[in-house]
Amino acid sequence: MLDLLNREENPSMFESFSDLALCTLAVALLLVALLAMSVSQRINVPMNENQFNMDAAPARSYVGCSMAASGDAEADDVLIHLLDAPMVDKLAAHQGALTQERVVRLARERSMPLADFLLLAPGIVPGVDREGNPTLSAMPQLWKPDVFSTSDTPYVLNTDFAEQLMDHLFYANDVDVQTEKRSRIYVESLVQPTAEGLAYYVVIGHAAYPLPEAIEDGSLNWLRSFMAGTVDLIYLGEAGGPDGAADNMRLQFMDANGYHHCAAAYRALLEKPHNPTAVRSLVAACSDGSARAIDRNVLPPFLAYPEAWQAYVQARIDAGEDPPEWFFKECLVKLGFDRMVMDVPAAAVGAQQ
Amino acid sequence: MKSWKKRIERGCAAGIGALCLTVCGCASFELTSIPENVEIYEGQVRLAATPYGFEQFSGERTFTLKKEGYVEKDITISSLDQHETVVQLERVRTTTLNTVPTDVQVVRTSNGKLLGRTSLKMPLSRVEVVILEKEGYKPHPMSLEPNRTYKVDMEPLEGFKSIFFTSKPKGAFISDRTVGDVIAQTPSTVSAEEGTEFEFTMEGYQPTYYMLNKRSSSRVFIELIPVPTVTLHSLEGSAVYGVGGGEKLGDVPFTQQIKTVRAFEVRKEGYYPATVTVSPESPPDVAVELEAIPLKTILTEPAGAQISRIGQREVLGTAPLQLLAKSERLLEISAEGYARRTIGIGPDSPAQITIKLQPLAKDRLMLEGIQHATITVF
Repeated sequence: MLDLLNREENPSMFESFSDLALCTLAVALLLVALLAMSVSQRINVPMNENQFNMDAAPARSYVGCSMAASGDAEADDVLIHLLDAPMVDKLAAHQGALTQERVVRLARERSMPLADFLLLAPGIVPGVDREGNPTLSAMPQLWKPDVFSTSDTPYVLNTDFAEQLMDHLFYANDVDVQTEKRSRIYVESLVQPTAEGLAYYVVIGHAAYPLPEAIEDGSLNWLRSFMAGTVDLIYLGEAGGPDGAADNMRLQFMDANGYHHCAAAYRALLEKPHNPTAVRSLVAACSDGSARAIDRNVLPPFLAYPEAWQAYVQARIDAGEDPPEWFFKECLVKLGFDRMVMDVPAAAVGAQQ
Repeated sequence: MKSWKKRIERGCAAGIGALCLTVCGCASFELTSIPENVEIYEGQVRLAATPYGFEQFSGERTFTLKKEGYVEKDITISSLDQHETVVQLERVRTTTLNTVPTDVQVVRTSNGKLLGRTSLKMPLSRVEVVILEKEGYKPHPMSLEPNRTYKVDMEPLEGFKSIFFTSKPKGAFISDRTVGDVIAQTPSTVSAEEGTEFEFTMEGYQPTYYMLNKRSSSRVFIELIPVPTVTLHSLEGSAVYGVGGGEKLGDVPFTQQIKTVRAFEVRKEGYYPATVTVSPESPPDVAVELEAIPLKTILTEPAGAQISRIGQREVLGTAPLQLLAKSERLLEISAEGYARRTIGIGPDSPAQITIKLQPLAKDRLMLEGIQHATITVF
């Protein structure tokens, strides 16, 4: 009995050590739980399954324009060049002190005919970089290099034309310019039945690129290279179905929502895809400085009727259609746009604004 | 007997008659003056003006004769005097009062009015009773008569010493260094207690001091040393400034009294500024040499190129152009159709610099190809 009393009054060292260890363990567990909650909160940012980018900082590009030295204004005689803006700015800054010519090589995918660019233009919405400059703008007047090409046609740079063209092509979309950081490119998927089976396309504006041919022959390299850090690809959904015009989602939307003029112009484009007269008229209008008063008919339908196109785009975005698996494999992954864009929480957006 | 009575009667009558004549004739006096028309006062009462006749049978009368511009004169006439008195008044001239030392106050005794300070010259028409006062001296009462010259040696107070200070040049202000007030100007006699320190000051001269002691002589000569002046000479048109961004002091030749060590900066357009330090020991004439800022001539090939500061913010002119190369500076040379050049010039650059401009080269945009895309319109 006496021993028992003594033991109670003088607890052993081992007993107090075990209490201490137990307490430390409890505190450690509590900290781990709190940390886990915090991490789960941090990564619990909703992913946008329709928006993809290459996870690079926004960059600026200049749109330059070369015209045949002969003055011809056929579709293939007017070229659109896509150049890195910082490089051009640096070249222009030292141009006045140039005693030796500098050669700037422009990769093949950065020059395309005007006609192709016009087809793409409805799907492109320029953004704004961190300094507040548009990520896509006309090449400045200061830099006027001589243009040399491998083709037989000699070209000269026409910065005035590029300026007019950019003003006209993107004015309808400039609603978003002040709020968006990256440029946006709206893409749709399209599956068309053919004699050999199904043909797969990625559609940007009015341009439908066959897959995988367009990736293999470099037709989509402009998107992979120059736009790499500049854009978010936004998947709108399936553009059509196997029944052709009957399954054309765009026509269905225009007809259903009263955009009849746009629908008519779009039908006319589908019936007569190549219209050299329209391109020539556009070139003439931009060259005389009256681009604002240009006839709608010379523009692709979705540029001529931007309200209808914007409404369509918004409706498809709201629908939130997920891209099909083939689109992932054959297009997005191969182009490098394999990262979904994280939707920034609303509170953070408010704080940024 | 009858004849003696008649004789006595006749004699008395004659005597009385003679007495009457004598009495009546002897009582009339006449006072005349040179000049005439002098006012006659008896006491404070104005009686008349000369010539003045009056009766006086006994005793005497005192008159005061006054006329503007003449010395007043008192005259006393007794009944026994001659009946006609002619008084000649003296014109008022200058009464001079000199004292040793000078600068003594002359105070009228009757009303305490200060008449002036010695040496004093004043016109007096009557006798003035005055008292001479000066600090360190005993008061000296005296009467000043008109038209006279006085010289009074003031007697120092007990424990004071009177010293005659003279200086070269004369006219130095003497002041008590402790009090600071100016006492006198040399040459002058000053009475002061032993131990008093005097300061002698004069414009353009350095102050000199003298302390009164037991062995002090009664005459002290003070030689004042001029404040040294230095004249700065340099190229014509040069200006003199205070060192350290001071304002312009003048143009050369620039003369300045130098009491302590001073530094000046001599400046002239086209020359480096030169700093010169002078002291009281410096020679009276100091020549300041200015080093010319090198002038550089800039020529261009082709001629007529624009020369501006870097960034083309300030166009300096077109070549050929002469520029001062005070320090290293960057210039931008530009001409239409030619490559812009930036050059640096400085004091060590050659006097003539020729800048050859190269024709402006153009960049080449080499298109490696044109991407004709495989596109179906949709």
